[in-house]
Amino acid sequence: MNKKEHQEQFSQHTDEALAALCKEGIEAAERELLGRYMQAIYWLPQRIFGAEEEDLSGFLIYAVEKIRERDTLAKYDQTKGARFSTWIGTVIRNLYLDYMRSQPSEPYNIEFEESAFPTQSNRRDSERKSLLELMQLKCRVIFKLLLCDTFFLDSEEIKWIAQESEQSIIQTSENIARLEENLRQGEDKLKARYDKLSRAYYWKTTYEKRLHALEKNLENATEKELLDMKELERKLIKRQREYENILDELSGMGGIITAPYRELAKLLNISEGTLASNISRCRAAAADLLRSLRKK
Amino acid sequence: MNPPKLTIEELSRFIDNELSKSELEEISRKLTECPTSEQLLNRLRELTQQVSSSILNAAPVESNANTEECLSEDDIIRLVEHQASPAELYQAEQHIANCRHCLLLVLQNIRTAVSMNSNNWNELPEEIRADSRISVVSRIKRPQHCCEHTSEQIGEIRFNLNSNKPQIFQEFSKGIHTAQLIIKRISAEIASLEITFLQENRPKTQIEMTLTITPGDKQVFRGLTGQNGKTLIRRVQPNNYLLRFKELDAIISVIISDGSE
Repeated sequence: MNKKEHQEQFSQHTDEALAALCKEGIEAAERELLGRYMQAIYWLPQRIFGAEEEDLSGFLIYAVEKIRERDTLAKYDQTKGARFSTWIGTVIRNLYLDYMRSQPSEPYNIEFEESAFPTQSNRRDSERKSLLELMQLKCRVIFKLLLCDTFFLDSEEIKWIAQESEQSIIQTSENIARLEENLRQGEDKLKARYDKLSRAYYWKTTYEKRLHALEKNLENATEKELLDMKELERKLIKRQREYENILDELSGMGGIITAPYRELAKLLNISEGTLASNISRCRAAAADLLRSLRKK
Repeated sequence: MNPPKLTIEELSRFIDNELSKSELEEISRKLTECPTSEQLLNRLRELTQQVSSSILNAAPVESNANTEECLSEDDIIRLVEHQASPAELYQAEQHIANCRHCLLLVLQNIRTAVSMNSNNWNELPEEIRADSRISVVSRIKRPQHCCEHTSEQIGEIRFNLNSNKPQIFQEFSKGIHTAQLIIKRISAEIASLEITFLQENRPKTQIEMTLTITPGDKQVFRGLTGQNGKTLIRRVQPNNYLLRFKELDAIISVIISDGSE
């Protein structure tokens, strides 16, 4: 059987059936299965971690190479009950974390501390930060949901949504993920805004963290670390500019793009009318807060 | 100043585009008649933008905490796939209510699963589809200790992005192999690097190459030559690089500058 016939034969197979053929060492099945997930391997890191576009093709090469080297597809075990797509998603996610860790001098998880590089916008930043900190938990969550910033929900906020909607935390997490997916599939503008904000925020803070970690050890830094710092400074400045531009762009927008009440009411398990009242009350409270902050 | 004719709730729904057509007409009319309402509307808009920025500025603290009681990957997959028993579900729920690390991990896994199962992906960028990098599907077998062998430097190519030349071309040979390099200016800060690999003047596919920054050896590209023996590396920034060809056991020094030094 030639390559084309093989491909035609396997195109009808389910992912799970192809994974079983991978176990038997049939390379054409592996090729077909990998081909089906190329887009997912490429785009998933951006969707889940806000990965930089310039890193995506490097990761694609890394991931495919590792999957093939380690015969990963043959390790899928259907008896454990997970669908192949869910299982491979976890594989891609873990590979991305490995990939990030393998990048020189770029530790993945460093606790956030204030930026060591003060910028002109820091004053404006601190006013914004106080506003959010002083806001009640309920209002904070409502604003984050309304502004499609579910990416930035923290654990307390997720628990609050679970409590309010009388759902388990696990069910709530699923509902949040579905809301994101619906927003992503929705209006183009909303999608673009959602992706852009997530990405800009992620990279700005990540570079700040990395740079700060390197700075702590400046006295003993090797030549290579100094070079890494220089590179990180350059990247941070670029992201900072991009971030400021997005904020300016948003300020310049006549209308603000917000998530549909229908979707949010469903997540919070309340009526649209109640949600509308809650939103207006939160806006009024936030306006008072801002006024008092400015007076100070 | 007169009190506003419109309530905050009406204005709030106006901002969020949640009004029916008739409501929208009514409120738009009132807005033109009532400057106080219009002022209030602008303040609410500004406030919403301000809050949006605050959210972006509030960095979530990532946690590395991982204890023996934490959920395993298999546990999480079972939760995500609704395979957990009620008892397991209860236990997991109790744990994530108190463990920030696992809660965020569960959410991240659910996000991944929802994305994977919705299968709603953009197309791959054209250069990935058409370019040689698609040949990643081919198996790459690397010798062990590949980083330890020393390769021979067979030449150097320099390009200043601020020079008058929009691109340069240079050819390097070792035995029957030839590497042709074209550096093109994309902007004052970015170049592209096109490499063609030939064996006895015929295109050679599936040749592994890496581009690393020197010193430091930070890898910025790894790929295989595709059809026509070509590889295109986009978005190369000013720096000193080493281009390594495994097959040729050779290194070419590539120096791209922006003229600032």
